[in-house]
Amino acid sequence: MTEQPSTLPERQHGWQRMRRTRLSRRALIRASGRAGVGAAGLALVGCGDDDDDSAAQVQQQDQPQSVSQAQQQEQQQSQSMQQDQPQQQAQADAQAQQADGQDQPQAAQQQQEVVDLSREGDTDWERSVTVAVPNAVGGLDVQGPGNYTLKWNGPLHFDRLLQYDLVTREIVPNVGNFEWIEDFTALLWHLNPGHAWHDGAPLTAEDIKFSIDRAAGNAAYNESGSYETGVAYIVSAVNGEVSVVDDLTARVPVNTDVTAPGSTGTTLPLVPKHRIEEIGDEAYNREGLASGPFQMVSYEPDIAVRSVRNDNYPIGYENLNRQHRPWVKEVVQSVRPEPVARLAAIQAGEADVAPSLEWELVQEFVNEPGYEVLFDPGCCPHTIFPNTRVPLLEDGSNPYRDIRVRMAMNHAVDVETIYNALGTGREQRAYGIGTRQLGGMQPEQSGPLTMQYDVAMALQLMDAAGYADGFESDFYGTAGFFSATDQIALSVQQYLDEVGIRTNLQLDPLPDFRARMAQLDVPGLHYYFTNQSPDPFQMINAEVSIGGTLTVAEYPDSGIQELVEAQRSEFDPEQRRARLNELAQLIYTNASWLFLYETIGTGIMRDDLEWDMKGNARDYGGLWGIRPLLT
Amino acid sequence: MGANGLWTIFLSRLLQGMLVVFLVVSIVFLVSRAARDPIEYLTTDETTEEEKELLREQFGLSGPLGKQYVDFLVNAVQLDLGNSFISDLPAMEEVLNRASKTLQLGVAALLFSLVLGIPLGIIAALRRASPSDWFARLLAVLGQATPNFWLGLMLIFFFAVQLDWFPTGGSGGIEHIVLPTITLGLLTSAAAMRLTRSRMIDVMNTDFVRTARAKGLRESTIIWRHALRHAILPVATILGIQVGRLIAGTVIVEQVFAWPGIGRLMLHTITVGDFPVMIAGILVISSAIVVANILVDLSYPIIDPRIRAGGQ
Repeated sequence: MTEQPSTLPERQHGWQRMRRTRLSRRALIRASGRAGVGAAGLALVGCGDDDDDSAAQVQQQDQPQSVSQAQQQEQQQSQSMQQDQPQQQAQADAQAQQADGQDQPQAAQQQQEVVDLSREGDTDWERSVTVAVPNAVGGLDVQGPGNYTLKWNGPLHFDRLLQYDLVTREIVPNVGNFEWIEDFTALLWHLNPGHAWHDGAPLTAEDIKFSIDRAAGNAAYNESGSYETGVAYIVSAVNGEVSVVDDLTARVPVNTDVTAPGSTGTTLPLVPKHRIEEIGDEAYNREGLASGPFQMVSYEPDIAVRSVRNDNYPIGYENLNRQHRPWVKEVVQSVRPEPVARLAAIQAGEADVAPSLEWELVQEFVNEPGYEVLFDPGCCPHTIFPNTRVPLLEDGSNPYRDIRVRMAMNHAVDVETIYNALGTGREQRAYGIGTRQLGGMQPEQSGPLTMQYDVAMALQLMDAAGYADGFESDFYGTAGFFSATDQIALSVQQYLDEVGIRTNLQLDPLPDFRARMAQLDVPGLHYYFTNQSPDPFQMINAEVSIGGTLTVAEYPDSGIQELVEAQRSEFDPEQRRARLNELAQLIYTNASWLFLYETIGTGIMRDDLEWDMKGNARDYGGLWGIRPLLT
Repeated sequence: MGANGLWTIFLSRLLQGMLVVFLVVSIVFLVSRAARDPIEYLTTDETTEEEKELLREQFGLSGPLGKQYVDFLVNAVQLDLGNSFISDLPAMEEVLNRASKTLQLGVAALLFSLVLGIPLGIIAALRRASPSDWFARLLAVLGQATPNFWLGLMLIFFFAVQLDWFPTGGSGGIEHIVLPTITLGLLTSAAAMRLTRSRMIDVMNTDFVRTARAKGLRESTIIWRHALRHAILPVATILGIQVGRLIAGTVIVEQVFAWPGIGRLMLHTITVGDFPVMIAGILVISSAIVVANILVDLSYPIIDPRIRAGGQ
């Protein structure tokens, strides 16, 4: 076992013991099932979770050498970290380590494993694939309230103007392209010719105008259209009338960059003008009509959605999926709300894919013949935001305004151990403002991960900041949003307690938590998530920019806000990328937040399928990437 | 009891039921609004307060709670509970579209519980302290002690995954309803079995049963024609109460078996904050429970001739 440089290497935290004794549902079911109903009570009392034990062993064994080296280096530097200007010191350390070429070899290897799933076999183009999904409710109007985010409908059937390519990590054409005109005050959207709605009508510039106007509520036929917050961004972005230049070109006056990843160009779903005007909003909500890679055949709310490949869909554009038609001939999304029932559906042969299952349920299928475990690297960096806006202590001070305290927090928490125990072990530490696993800011681009687990360092920093005796703070988190968030919060609480940050943990459902955070004046720590898109465009607005809806961690004198404004007004992609790199580095070296890790979603599918998810499951046409293999 | 008496009972129960439904829906409305801002479910991180206010106005969530409540009542009387925040379809339509599924499951579970519970209770009563009595009592204890959620998963594991006799979930043919029916009905059947057993034991020791035997009536006639009629009245009462439990149980059972009924819809609406549909669901469910209890009350004179004759 790799020696740990921590001052408390042998200590087993309470949360780890808790994890070891926790029963997984699957283990419970199997044990109880085999023993029969009469033995269920015995199973409840007596059976342990071998899988969790193995996970705990992994956490003892899998500490990467590079992490240890980094910790040793930081220990050597610990004396100097108590100087008067720790931020500059941290930046110097970061640069020094970057010069050493230090990176995360294990993480890189894991990333490679995640991406490289390709196996031999020809495509079975006639295959129907059944996907067990948690739910399928809602109307069919993709611009309707709540309907926009329905993964079973929007991403599969509807088109957007542009797409973020998860391979090239660039904005690429989808059904059209754009050009800036009039000194970046307007866009010309060019539709690709030959694109058609599923009823055969051509997709035209009138549809673009209609879709934007409808989403923005600017049209007489839909005066209340501005409700949809997912596309509401365009309401403020479009500052004039959208005009049709010709059949395939529309002019859109804007006051900001709507072609940035995650913004309007990549998120606004297109709806058919001719059909909605013909039958009205309400009927369209029941019927739906789209132009995407799959065409809906039938929809039984909360039972099943049946779609077939749109064989007339244009291909050949420069993006991930457009190089081929969807491989699957028919996709049936069969609803199984309960995760264990989704797993059972796979085992019983009723489903081929179940993309959203907890690691706890699928980990024993890793080497199981006939199954392939899915690792979806596309989700959210877990981050804890300290509120620096309002006083925390009774004397009116706020320890979180001191960078030494924030650095101490980051040194206090053993992030790798947490995700090895509670996650898949393939996670990566959160860094900066992007989702690293989807091409967001990488330490190699902006600076290395300097704040490693080191309790001695954390205690020294707390002492230097004048908080040798620690302080008390509220700590708010969410329950039931992502897997294990409650356990992660508990573990962080115990780690912080080790260095004197005594927290009162309160876990709430996400809406309650977010409403509290949005008040901006609730002191303490707020355990939330940064963006899940490769580009941090949206989260910068919401969580970094001063005045953002959730920006509780404000650092007005750090230079962060200046970089926020700089990237916001930068229309050149390369230049903007450079500003974002600077911003990511500054946010990290400023220890602006407590950086935890990026989660890995897991699922399971039959091994005669191939699906390199690339985070695509929660983005455009994720099921497009499923490839049935001839067996 | 004549027709007038029945009408009196019916109208009395109907008024009580309407009051119950009104109170239930009002409490749910006020508590849900007071506890949480539904807009938080519909917005993203970037949604500004101004945009949230726009949404509140659009969905009728702005203004004082009292005014919202009055508006809600005025519309509710016309069965207009607004549109779903999620689908933008009428909330009552969303619920009623699923009512038939929940009704199917509820009726099947009720029949299952009667078919299993009453005969087992009779057998247990007639063969006290025999292995069949012990078996029936064990089944009753297990039925009452086993959580729906766990039982459902067990049935899926054995009968769908291992034996491949039934599908793991969904709806469609008769095979889809078997496992959810057993899961949902076992608790009620256990209650029916225990009550039938204890009542039958009492009744079988009464004078009129001894008299019937002395008259030389066949045992089956005594049991089915005379004793059971006396024993079944409390069972009917309990079943009326159990209808509420059955409907409550559908929330879990429908979730486990992907049965597209009101129960699952309710769980979903609570999760995503779709309050109009949630209120509509509560309205339908509470009304169903009230109706079921009225039917049970009206069934007393039919089951027990003494009530019919004496107006008791």
